[in-house]
Amino acid sequence: MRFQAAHKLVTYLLVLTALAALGTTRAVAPGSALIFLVVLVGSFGVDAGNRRAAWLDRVAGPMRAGMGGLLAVIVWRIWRRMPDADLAPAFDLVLALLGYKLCYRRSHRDYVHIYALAFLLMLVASTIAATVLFMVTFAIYVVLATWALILFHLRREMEENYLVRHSAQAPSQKVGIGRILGSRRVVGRAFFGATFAVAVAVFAGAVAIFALLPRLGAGFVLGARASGNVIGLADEVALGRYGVFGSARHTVLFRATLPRLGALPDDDARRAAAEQLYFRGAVYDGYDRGRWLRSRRPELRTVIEQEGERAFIHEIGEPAGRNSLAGSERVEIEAVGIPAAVLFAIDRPIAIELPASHLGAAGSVRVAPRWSGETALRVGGDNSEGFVTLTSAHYVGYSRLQSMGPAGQSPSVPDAIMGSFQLEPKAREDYLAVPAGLPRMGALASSLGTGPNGAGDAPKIAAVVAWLRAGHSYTLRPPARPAGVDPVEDFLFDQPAGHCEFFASAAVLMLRAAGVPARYVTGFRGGEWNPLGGYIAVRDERAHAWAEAWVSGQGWVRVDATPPATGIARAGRFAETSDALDFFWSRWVVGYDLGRQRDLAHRAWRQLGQLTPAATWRRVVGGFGLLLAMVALGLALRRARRLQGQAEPTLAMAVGPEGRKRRPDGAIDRLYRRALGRLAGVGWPRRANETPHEYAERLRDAGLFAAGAFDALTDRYAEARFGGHASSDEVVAELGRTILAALSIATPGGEKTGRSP
Amino acid sequence: MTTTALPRERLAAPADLVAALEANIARVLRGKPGAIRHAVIALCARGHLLIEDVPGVGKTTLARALARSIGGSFHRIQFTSDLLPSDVLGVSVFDPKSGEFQFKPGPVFANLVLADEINRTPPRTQSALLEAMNDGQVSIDGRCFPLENPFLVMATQNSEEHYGTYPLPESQMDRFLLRIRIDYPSPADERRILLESLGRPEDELMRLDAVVSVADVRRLQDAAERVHLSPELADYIVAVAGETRRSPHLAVGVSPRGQLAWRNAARAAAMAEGRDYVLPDDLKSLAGAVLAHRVIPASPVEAVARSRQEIERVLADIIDRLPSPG
Repeated sequence: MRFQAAHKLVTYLLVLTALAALGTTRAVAPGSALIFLVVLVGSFGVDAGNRRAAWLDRVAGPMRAGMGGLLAVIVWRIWRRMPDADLAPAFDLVLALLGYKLCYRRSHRDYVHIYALAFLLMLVASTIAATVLFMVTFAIYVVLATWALILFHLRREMEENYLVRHSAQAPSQKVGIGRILGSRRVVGRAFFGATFAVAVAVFAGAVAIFALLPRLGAGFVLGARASGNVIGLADEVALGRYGVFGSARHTVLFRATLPRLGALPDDDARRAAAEQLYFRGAVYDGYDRGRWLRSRRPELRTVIEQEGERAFIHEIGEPAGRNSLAGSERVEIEAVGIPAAVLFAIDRPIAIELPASHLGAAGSVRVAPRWSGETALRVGGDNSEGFVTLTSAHYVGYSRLQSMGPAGQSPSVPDAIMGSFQLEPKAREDYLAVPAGLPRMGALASSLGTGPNGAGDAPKIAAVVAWLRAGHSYTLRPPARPAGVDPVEDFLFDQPAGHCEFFASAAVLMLRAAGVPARYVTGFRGGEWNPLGGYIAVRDERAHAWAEAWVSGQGWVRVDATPPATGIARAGRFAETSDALDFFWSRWVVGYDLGRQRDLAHRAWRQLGQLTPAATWRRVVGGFGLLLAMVALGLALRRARRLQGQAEPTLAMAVGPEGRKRRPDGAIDRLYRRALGRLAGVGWPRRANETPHEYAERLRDAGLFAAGAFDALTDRYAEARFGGHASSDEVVAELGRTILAALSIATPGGEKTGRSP
Repeated sequence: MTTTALPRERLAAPADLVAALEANIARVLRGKPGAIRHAVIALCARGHLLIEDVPGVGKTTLARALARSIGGSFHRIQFTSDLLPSDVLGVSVFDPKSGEFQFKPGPVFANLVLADEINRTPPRTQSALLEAMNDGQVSIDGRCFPLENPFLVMATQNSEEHYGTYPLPESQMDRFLLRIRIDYPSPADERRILLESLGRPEDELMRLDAVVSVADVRRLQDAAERVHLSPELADYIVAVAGETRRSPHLAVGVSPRGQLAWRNAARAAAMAEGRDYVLPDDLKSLAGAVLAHRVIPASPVEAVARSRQEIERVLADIIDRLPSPG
């Protein structure tokens, strides 16, 4: 391949990659991109000196004028929309400049401009793009950029610094650069391979540094405070209006890694188990005309007991002896975009652990208590109201799983929880409060035989759930509720159709009317098992609301009155793969911090540790030793063969035709090889088919400064090598001094031309 | 010193002799140091020389000048289609006085024999000469007559003419150590020849004195045999010969006899340069002259002249491909 062609190809690939990176953001207008692509393809055939280039040079004047006009238009477009930051015209500007430069690339300077513009595209794209696709283009871009820059520097070197002298007296001249760039011999295919390998190696090295360098961050050193997005959470849910994060948008909100699922036999089992999980978030205790509220009463406050990196959470009145993780499930949660400050965890969470990096780098981000067992991340001191939204964070939740029975089996039977439970009298009052204005519901509760003084809690729960499920249908498009009537009453008696919020609200209120303390909770039901990433993806369409009821002796029990929904369609294979890639990206690149690093090292160590039985170690060490020994043996054999190869002629020489004792003169041989190495280093290597004298003659003809000294050396060397006449040590030493001095004079000054000054 | 290493001073003498010889010949054959050197190499290596060229470039002059310079006997045989072996070797005639057959030696009995246009005579006569060249003696009627020592045959053949010729078979070509061309002199040399030569060339030849003796030539031959060939170069010779045998462009490669000839020629060349050891350069510079007529191209239908250039190119390629020793 010709150097010019290769350099051009790499440059075009670089530009294409930058364009693709921009394409992943969808910020550039398709029309502009298409026009640019046409220009890109069209300009590929333009090379300095060919017909197209000549034509372009002829129309350079009008072209420049056109470019000026285009630039003016684009600048005007940007100016017109000035207060809004609309990037599309800016992209057009960069693309137009890039297209122009591609058509008028003649020397290395134009390539610099192309690289700078492509880099600009990449830079802009990086600020908008957040998908893993962009990262792929970015990685390709990095490799290509390194490669292109290596070739570019070589080209610049050739265009600016390569000098040649046609005789000893003539002054140096620049070489005919077109001939070199167009030559297939100047740089061979191996060279391109090697430069590409260098580019890849540089990238690999950067990745290695990324992975291995301790990720302490400047904050760790400077003790800087984090300044995150700080918001409050809307403290209420309005039935039928808010509360659901949105439906059928298929956006992954968070991903959970639950080691327990790994133990299940196959992906189908894991998928089914993932569907049974409940992720609980916000808890609401007060109801007021279609709205669920947090009463924020002190006795409902969550209690947090910090223990190292873990924050144990429980509610006031729950036994404190729970802060043990025995029998709990560890769930790692990667929040992608939960639009709330509440920390979600599998029902029911007992502890939250923040990775060290949050504590270290961000200073004072920590798990903060909210109400009714809710927790959130908080920045700053206790009095600060600000909580951090979880647009991208990861944390570990420890949960006690409630039963993972078949779908829809409700009420769930709670696991036994240690200790005895007592609901604070004041809190109990809250959880039993039925607002006025629901006359029919009170009557219904009594008519179901679940009045305040009826049977035990469990039968009451079962009766309420059964009644709700029997007469009400589930729909994501509930009918419009008439104004002035409480939405729950309307749902219960007039229009018996609604979604989970209505079922949950009705269940809570009916339970309260029946004398069972209950509250309204929101979160997510079920997740999608992603077999590629080995995690559960939770999308916004899985948002759910259900009830929790207080069963004496058992504590809070989940009551899901919503009839089992028709299964939510699984994401397609492509979506699954892309989500897995995103997961990998956010976990191992974006979220790659000291904690992850330690985790990785730990895992690697454990993997090694699994081999630990002494026999295995011995096998490993033995195998390694054997390998070393084989390598050493191979090297020794090679050396021996080489020595033998040198020794053979000596033996034959000893019994030469006249019985003369001849031996190769080691000193002169070494000196000659050394001089050859030096000469090769300054661009005068000896060709394989050249005899020593032919080589010396070539140097002499070229007017090389050291040629005279080298001639003498060649004579002595040939004498020793072919005639067996050993030169005396003094002669060799003298020759060595002369030749090496001559070469060292020739080397630094004459490096570029390889000739005498 | 008990070693038998020859001091270089003693071998400087052969180089001086060669230099004197060449300078003497150069007085009548101007601008042809290469051809002169080849002739001297053939003489010193106890070989024979085949000159393929057009008439009038100095083939005869070279032979006669060499003969005069060594003070040896010189015969010229003009080969024709009716020449008989006895015309070359000699004949036994009955002497009525003694009542015995007496041998009348033919023109081959001389230090230097110029066999002009050897391809004009039928193979029978050609082989008579070639056998004599090979054996160094002539056998007639059961009696052996040794040839002169030194004995050098310089055969010429006109490579441009084909009508009425009997081209030498390849198997007989390799009796010649070297096959060379003389070629036209350069324009500058031709101009000098026109301006400087006085009278007929024969007169100039007659004025040439012997600068070395026949005994000196024998000494030169002995000295050439003592020139050292390093094992590395022997390997090189073997490698080149091996490549010629493997080459797809050649039907027959260099034989062991060819290898020996190459070595002998290189030794003589080294001696002529005043060295007692062969350099790879000696081998490379003689490769065309020694090897080209010993190999057979793969396409026999090609014309002789064209195949000759073809073969030289193939040989040059082979040598270029092989790494040089040293």
